Amino acid sequence: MINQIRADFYRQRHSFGMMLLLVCTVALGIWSTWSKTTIGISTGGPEYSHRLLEITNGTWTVKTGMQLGADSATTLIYLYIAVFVIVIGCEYSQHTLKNTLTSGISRIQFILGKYVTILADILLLTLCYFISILATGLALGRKPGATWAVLCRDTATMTVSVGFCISVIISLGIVLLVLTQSTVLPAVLIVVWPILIGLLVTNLNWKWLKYLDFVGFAEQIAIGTLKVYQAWIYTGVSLGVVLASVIGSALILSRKEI
Amino acid sequence: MANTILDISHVSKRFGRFQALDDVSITIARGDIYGLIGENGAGKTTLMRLITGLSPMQEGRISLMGSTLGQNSRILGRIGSVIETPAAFTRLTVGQNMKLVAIQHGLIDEGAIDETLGFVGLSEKTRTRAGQLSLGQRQRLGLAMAILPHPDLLILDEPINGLDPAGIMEFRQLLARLSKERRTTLLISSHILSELYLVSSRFGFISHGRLIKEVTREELDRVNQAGILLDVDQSARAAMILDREGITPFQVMDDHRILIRRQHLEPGPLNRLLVEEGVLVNHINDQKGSLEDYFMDLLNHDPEQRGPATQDHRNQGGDND
Repeated sequence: MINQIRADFYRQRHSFGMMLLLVCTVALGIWSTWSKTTIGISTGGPEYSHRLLEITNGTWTVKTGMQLGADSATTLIYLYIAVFVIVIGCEYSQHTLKNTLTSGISRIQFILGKYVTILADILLLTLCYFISILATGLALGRKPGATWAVLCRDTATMTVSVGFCISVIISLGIVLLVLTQSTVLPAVLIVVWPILIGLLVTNLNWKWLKYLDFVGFAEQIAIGTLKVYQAWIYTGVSLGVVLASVIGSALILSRKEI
Repeated sequence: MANTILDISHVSKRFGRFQALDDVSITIARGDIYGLIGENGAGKTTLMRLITGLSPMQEGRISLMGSTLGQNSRILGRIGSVIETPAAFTRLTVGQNMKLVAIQHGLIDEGAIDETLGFVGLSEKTRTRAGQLSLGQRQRLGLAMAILPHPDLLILDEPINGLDPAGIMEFRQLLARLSKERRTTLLISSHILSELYLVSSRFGFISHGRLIKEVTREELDRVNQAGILLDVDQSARAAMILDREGITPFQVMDDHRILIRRQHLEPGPLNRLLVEEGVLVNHINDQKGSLEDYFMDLLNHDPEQRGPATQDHRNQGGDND
């Protein structure tokens, strides 16, 4: 599995798409900080929206920029679809899956390796995103809004929470990819998931569904509106979904004609 | 058997109502070049996909170098394969695709990539993107990627498909070198017997998912000879008479059969000669000696009328039955 992950990183180092993705991610961070704008769909709930409005109407500091940067997580999902396509989607579209699966790797190692690669990619890209927000805020002469230690801690927390939560949605995309052997349906699922869950929670009033709103989870961590007991439930559900997706994908793959 | 690389035992595979493979058993020993011959849709690719784990097993057992398939996925790392069309990342160069395979297999010998590309004649294309290669070059790249980890068993599915005559000849030479220089065991499929005949040491004929016959190269050699096939009561005496009368060249195939490798020989006078010398002639057949005829003759038999295909076929000889 380690060899597979190394091979995927080697391939990405020679991928123009990954380079473009990095540029776009950094550009999004710079632009949103510079223009004091957030783009994306907020799904964190009324308390989150209220708090977001308070922050937006206040003085823009470096810390403010980072908190609002987390609000653009849904936009990051659209960008990170490229990671999904480059790391695992093209194994199907270029028919190289048969080479990979005959290299002596088990199905579970293959899926887990791909998920770990995607997670690592997303964490690195998200780190670059928040660093670009931090750097742009400082370059524009804005006040830090917190000590350096707090800013560094927030950068790490937001990177992990946003990156991991997006990877949970992508893990669901992996299940659909393995099931349908098409990159189109998973891409659609990844895009609509946050919106779909938000709509279902609002219209069907199924409160428990909000724990599947992984973007909302990340946004609430960033703004600090999440209660501790809710954080544990969100974390448990997210880890459970990843585990189920990885094992489920491996089981489906072992029964599929490649 | 320690010498057995691949042991396929009573393997069956069904897709819905279609029986793709039916009770197939094959054993391939180390060093064999096994040619799997069958018409399109006969089950060759399905069998290869089962061996490489690309298709889930339904019935039977496949054992690779003593390890049962499905129990130890790492054993697949010891086989190389090009199933259906060779696949590579089209935006990566030939060298980068090779490097990727090297990393996947944990190979650290940097020189192995250059050596392998040289072996398949792709050294000059190292920096060319895989997507820009011709069909023949893609086949070579597929072969290079498959042999880079020095596999014990190499599986090639219709490797000469789409190649021009020169390409076929070069590919054939490559396979011969692989067997000779790297001592790689090969399993090759084709629907063209005459192509496999030139490289394989053993042959398995597959039709409608059943292994209908297995023959060795020597057995097939007998078939691939045109002439007059005599069936007599005592071939030694008949051979002496033929030699004395200058009816040569001929080959004594067993105690009863002699193949006179000469065409346009009148059977009447030959029959009279042998009978007058006290040899009982059972049959005189005009043997066409075409491999394709042999293949078609095999296929024309209703597979449903045959018993289960087993290795018992191996020593049944290669005559035109």
